[in-house]
Amino acid sequence: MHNSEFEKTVQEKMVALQLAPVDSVWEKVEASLPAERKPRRFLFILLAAALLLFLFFAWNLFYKNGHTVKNSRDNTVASKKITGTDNNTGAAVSKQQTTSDNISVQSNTGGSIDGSVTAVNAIHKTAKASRTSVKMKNAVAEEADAANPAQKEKYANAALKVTVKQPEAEEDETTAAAPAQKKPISLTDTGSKKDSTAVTISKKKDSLEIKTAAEKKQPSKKKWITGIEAGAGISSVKSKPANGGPAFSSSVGTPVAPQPSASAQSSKPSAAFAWGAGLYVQKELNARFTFHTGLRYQYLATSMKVGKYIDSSIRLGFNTTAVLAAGNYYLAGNSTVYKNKFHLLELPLLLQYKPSAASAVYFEGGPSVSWLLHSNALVYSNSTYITSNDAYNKLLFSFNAGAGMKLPLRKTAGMEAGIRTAYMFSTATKPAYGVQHPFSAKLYLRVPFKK
Amino acid sequence: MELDARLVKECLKNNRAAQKQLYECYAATMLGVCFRYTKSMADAEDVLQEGFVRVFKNLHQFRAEGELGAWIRRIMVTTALNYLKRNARYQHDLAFDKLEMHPVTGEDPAITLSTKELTSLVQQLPSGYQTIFNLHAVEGYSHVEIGAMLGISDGTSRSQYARARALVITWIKKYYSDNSKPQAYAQQ
Repeated sequence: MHNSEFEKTVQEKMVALQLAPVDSVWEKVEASLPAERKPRRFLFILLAAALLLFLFFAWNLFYKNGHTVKNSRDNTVASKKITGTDNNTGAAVSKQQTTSDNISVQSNTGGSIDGSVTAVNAIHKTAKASRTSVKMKNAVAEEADAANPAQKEKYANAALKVTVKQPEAEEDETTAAAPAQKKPISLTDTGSKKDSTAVTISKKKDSLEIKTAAEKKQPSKKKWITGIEAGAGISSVKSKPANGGPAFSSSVGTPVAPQPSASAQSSKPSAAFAWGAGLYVQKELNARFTFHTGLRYQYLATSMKVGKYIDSSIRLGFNTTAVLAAGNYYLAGNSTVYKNKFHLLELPLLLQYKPSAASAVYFEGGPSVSWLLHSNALVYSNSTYITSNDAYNKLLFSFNAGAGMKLPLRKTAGMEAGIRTAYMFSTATKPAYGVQHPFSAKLYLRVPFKK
Repeated sequence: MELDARLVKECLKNNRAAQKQLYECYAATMLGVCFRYTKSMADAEDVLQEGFVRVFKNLHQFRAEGELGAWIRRIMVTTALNYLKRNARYQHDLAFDKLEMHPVTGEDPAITLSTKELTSLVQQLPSGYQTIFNLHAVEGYSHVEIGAMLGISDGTSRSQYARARALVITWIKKYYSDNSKPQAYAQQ
């Protein structure tokens, strides 16, 4: 510290010296700094969405067989033993399975029957004939209503009608409306040019549109809009079994005529819950048409009743050349509720059409290409139900049609909601194993990413 | 201080906006510091640029207990001294060895010059005098510290400072008497 006044004064005056540097100084300093890493938000969202899809897929895939059995644990043969009671004698009946395709049935009343898969039917016949029935606990149908024929018909046709109310008075931006019909509210921004910032709010039938005078004169630059989409609904399948060929066949070349019992009738697939989620990208082509695409995960499912689950390997012939092998199968029957699941990765190519440029409502339609990630859908040949990866086509094609609208609220700006139906016109299963055309109807919501 | 700490934290994350804000906060003051040690604005800006590069490079060493401005000032002074040492234009003026010892004058005149005028006077000193004058009178370093920084004895620092001080006082008097700027000092 200075004692002298001179030094103190010099210090005070010279420390206060401030000079403005030229801009190039900061530019040179900045050039020497390490590059700034901008947060890649979009990439993060994409990765998060991909992870979410993967987790859902993995969770669904975990339940490989889709074996849904309620109150009928005895139907499974994981322990390779089925127990029940003989109605006539009240004696316990146990069923044991050997390592081969053979199934052995033992009754405490005596006698045992060993045989192949074909012999199971014989057992049933014998049991029926001898009035000895093994009462098994029945599975409770997961969707009992779906078994209702009336509802089945409704879902099978999937003829959903979409009606959209047209706005009574269509407003065209290029034509001037009569002052009496529309009363715009004009707001002028103070301190700026009126021409460029005057805002006109005109309330139309189905949309609330706010545009500045400058925006009206100059059409906005069309950009790609990205966002996420999610939807939920129902799906079903139009199916028919493989043409010709035997039902039961433990090996190719030894066809055996199917002999299903009346009580062992399985149901046709019925509707079940479906959902989908993914990313979308769309761009306005002009005032009325918008191109929409993206990448979506789709989950389609149907439900059906089948018979007992047999945890034993099988080679099932569908015709003289088509054979499928599996580690387990289901018999004909209605004791087990089975869910056929389709996990797809879909690329839609849709075109949206608006009745008028100002309309918030639109119709959309177009094809989509899907890649079958996994399916456990049963293919059946009369009395045996089997699932195998070799039964499915991987590349699938669908047609989509639907309608939606842009949500009018300020908070939901850019969001869209609607309904979409899709019909897979290519068969999910290879023709040798039957034909399956899944179709669905879903309500969806689209949320654009914020800019 | 809390604001400085937050700013430093953001700068350490390589947040460009924060770095620019820190630069803009201290650039004007630090350019003044650099200008006092150099002979021209161009040289001062070179020192400023070099100084801020060092500031950002060593920002992780800043301890929040101290004042950020004081820490940056120390870096600027060090940068200025290094600049003078390696710059050929200043090197002959930094020769301290051959000058005679001069006692500090007892004069203590009042200074009514403006900051700019006073700075202009000090800039007329030879670089060696100018440096020591700034380090002692303005920055407040002791002659021992100055000796360590410049690699000279504290005695040399003292005598250099006395001579510089005497010259500045002479010029101030001359400035007052005939309102004319002094001639540039020529080393004998």
